[in-house]
Amino acid sequence: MFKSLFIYEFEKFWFKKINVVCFIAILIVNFLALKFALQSNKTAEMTDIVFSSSLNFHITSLQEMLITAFNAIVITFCILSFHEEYRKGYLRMTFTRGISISKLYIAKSLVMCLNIFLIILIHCIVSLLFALIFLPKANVSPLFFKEGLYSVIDVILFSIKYYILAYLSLLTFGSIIEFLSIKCKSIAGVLGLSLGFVFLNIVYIAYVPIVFKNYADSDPIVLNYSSISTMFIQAKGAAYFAAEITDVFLYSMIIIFLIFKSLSYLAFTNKHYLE
Amino acid sequence: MLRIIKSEFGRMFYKKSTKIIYAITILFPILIFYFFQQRWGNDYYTVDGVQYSLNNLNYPVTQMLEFNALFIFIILPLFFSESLSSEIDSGGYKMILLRPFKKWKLLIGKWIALMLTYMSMLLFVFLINSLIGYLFMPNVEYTSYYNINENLYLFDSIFYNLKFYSIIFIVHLSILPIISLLSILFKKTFLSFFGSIALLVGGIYISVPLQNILFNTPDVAYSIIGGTYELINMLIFIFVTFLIFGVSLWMWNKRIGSIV
Repeated sequence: MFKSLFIYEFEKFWFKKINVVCFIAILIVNFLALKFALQSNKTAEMTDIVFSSSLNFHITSLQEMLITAFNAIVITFCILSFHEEYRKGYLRMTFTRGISISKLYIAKSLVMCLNIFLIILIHCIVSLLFALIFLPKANVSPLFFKEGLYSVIDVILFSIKYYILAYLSLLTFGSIIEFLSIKCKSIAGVLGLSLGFVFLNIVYIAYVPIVFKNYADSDPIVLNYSSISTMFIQAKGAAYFAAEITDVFLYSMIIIFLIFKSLSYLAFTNKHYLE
Repeated sequence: MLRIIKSEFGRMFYKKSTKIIYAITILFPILIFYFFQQRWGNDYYTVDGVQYSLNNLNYPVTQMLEFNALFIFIILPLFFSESLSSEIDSGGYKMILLRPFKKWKLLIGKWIALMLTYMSMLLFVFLINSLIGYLFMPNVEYTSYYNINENLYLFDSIFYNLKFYSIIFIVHLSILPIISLLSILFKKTFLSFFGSIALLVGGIYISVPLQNILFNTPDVAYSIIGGTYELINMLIFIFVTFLIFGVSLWMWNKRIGSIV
């Protein structure tokens, strides 16, 4: 029963053209990142962190696009699969059959996790391909927040850690938007609140260094306070985690993810919806 | 035509989102003042590497960088797409199309209502910034601006500020035809919203003059009034804006009946 529910949700996801467009948009996103990389390569040296080579383009492009394009894609997914179906009442049709509302929520969440994973995976593959074709080849590369140059194996380890936290941060952001999507009555409300959330995050990030004026940027206390902000993790935290400076971002993301997932679960499985 | 505009106004002010955006336009300058002046103690602004000290006369034009980014990339796309495409998406616009008016007149009425509303918002921002300037900034009799040799007294300075705000207004209005076009093409509110943002961000990546106009609008405004800006970029920008206005009007007239 659960398996067929999962497949039904998965098919429904791919049946919507906009979701497919989001996947195609990854190509455009990579193209823009490539253009930007080629531009900044002109003024940078091979040993600079801003220099994009075949070895680190998949990291620099993700770092650049995580806050903007990927968050927009996650918002789109959440609006389509939670707000539209839940608020416009399409889901009522599903419940005319004997389907458990909590199982449906779990299936939906799993499909969402799977598709965000696919987005990240496709980005990785496309950026690696683009880098191989268009960018200068390199055997060693500098990494974020690490001194010196690193070989291929180090870069792979760094990338895996970076991608894991990037994925987790997208899931967390998704869980927050999911909660807003279920609670808000109009799409404009969901959009406004989610962008307001992003904006508040940015204000918070700007505010933390001012409060801790006397501390260094990578001081554990500053990082602990910054770890509350999803945007900080997408901008810098993932690199801090991958450079093995601190693990606090991993824990904070898991905690925020669990909190908002349970809140959305409670909101989604509200019995009033069925009446 | 007047009645169409009045009806648009009525519907617009009935919505909660319009009221929230008004609240943001009023609160945002106060927040900027609180953070930048009270907490961080900025008492100068920089144009093209030259520092100018803040005073009551130039304060309204110097605090627009953050406002510009917030409005051009978030608030205006949301405000315009909420007004243009949410009615189409929900089907409520059918009721309006049923009345015996020309379709293009309805769209132009909407545009005029939106423009006037946004103009009033910018005016609010100007008034609040002026008020903050007079209350909390050092009071001076005259001030100097970027690339203007003589000192400007009160009336000239206000005139300068108004010119500055009109340039910002013209740049911001370019969002309106993009949203109109996208709401005809896609129908869904969030698609026209994200589509317009994607177009703006894509434009920023592709063209440097466009990046300056959209992102560094205050700097562009300083240099236009100061006479150092290559006006051809701005003229092309305005021409393209008008072109998109025309295309969206044409498409609206042709397709709106079959879409709603």
